[in-house]
Amino acid sequence: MQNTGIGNVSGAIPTINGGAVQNVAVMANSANEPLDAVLDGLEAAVYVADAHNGEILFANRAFQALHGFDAVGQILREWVVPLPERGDYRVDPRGVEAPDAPCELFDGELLQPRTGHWYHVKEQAVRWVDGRIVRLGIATDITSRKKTAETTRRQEERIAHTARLITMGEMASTLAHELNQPLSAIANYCNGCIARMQAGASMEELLPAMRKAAAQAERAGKVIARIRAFVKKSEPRRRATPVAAILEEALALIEIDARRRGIRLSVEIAPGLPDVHADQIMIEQVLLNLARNGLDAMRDTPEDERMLTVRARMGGKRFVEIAVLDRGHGIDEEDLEQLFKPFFTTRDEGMGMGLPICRSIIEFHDGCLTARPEPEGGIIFIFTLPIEETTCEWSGEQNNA
Amino acid sequence: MSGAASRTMHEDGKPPRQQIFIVDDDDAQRDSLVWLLESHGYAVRPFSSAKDFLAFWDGDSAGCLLLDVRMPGMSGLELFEELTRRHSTLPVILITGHGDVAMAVATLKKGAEDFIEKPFSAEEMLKVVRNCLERESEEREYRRTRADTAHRLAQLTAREHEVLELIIAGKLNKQIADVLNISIKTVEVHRARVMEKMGVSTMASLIRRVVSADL
Repeated sequence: MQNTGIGNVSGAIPTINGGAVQNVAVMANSANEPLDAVLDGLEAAVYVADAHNGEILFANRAFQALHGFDAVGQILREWVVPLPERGDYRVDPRGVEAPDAPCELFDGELLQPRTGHWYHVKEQAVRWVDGRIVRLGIATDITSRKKTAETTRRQEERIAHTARLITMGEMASTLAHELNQPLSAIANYCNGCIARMQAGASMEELLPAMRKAAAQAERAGKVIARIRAFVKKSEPRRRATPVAAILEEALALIEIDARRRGIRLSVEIAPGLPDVHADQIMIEQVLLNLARNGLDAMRDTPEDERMLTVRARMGGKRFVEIAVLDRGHGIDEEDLEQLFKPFFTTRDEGMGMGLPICRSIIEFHDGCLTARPEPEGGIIFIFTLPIEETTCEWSGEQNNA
Repeated sequence: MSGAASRTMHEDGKPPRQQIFIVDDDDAQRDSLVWLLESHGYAVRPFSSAKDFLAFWDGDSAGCLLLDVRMPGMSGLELFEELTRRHSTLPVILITGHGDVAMAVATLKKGAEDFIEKPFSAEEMLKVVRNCLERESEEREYRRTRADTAHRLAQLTAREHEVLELIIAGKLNKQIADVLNISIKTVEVHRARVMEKMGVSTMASLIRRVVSADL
């Protein structure tokens, strides 16, 4: 019974959407009120259900197509409406009393798992004609809008991933050097041990060198793990991420580069920063990009002045602000505007795609990325990331009410 | 300064113990290299910066210097140039990264002993170090003998000098006596003095000694 009802859903909606006007005319005959005809003509599914027990009191045609044509009188089933049992609500509608109504119960996007359709659902607690508290809901199919957004997002993710591969390509010789160090250290420790073993050395004599060799192997492994994590092709996933974790991973890679170029790295993290709502790898990518730009800009800076500063602190109440400052050659005001345009570059080997990609990554995170010249020379790049706010997480995302 | 004496001079006639100095900022590379070389019986003394080494350097230690060219602060190359300016005789082996070979060659022309490219095998490293120490030891011995010869020559009187020069020119005692207008007996006395002062017992070793010193 339930299966049949849900199975009809995907087929039923297009019919209604396509023939909306005729259907309104046909249905008007059977409807007692002109208002019913209007509601039945809507593409959006409209329903009214008892807030306490979920009994459906009213269902327009679109809602019936989803829930079954005998919906009225039944109990709301799990599929396209928020369910208190699932913890979808911040305020459980079952507990809403008359003095509270009307009030908003739910405003968010839900996935119909069987059909894969997305609905934007808005629900309010109102007082029904007979005086009881009901859930008045409207569910709009937003699947096609979602799909377009999804395609755009996928493309951006592909571009971002390609950019990460390019960055790693540019860093390849530095990274190879970084791997060579522990590998040659391991070889030295082992060869020394072989010579001593052949000379009849005791275990105790060899132990410290073997321990050091093992530690070096781990050091090499960590570098490789970082590179792998960085170039891994993965769906961007925004989640609660500590700012320090992002900085630590990105700076581990930056530090390699900085050390080789004789540039000091200064990191300032304000104490007690909240987590940000971000995809860690993507933000690492932005940081790595900005930092490497900064390192490049300091090629002609006297060695004792070369310093790259990375600073994280609150930027307003709901954003964390991360700044990357160099002491390089700086930039003219007019070029500042050009910085974020594709193919603008001051480097010989640069493609000029780094900063535009950084900006789109930050904008994807609902933050913003800006640059301005530093009064003491160099450029400061600042980007913001929203802090993590407690949201309910399941198959849907609820908007901030 | 008491250490300097034991490092340098040879009251007992034995050459000073050779040490391998390592200047490398990378802890792992430096430490593992110390272990490798010590495992093969070398005395090793590591430094983590060019500055530290210069602070220690007295200009007269025996051995060789393993020097990483790429370092923050004073680079290996700058240290090498500074040592040249200070007339150091310590042979320098440069440890270069990939792609630094052209620079290493230029440094060889300026008098560096050798270079080894990273990553290197233990075998390569040991061979380079062994060759370098052998040469250093020979050079040192040569310099020591030469200094000793010069010192001894300075002890000779003007007349003894004249006699020595004529001996080396291959003159017989009689010819020397004629040239200097002295008796053969006197020539023989001078000659004995020269041999004694130069610390040799045969004519052949006297000649070899003076000629090889090339003073």
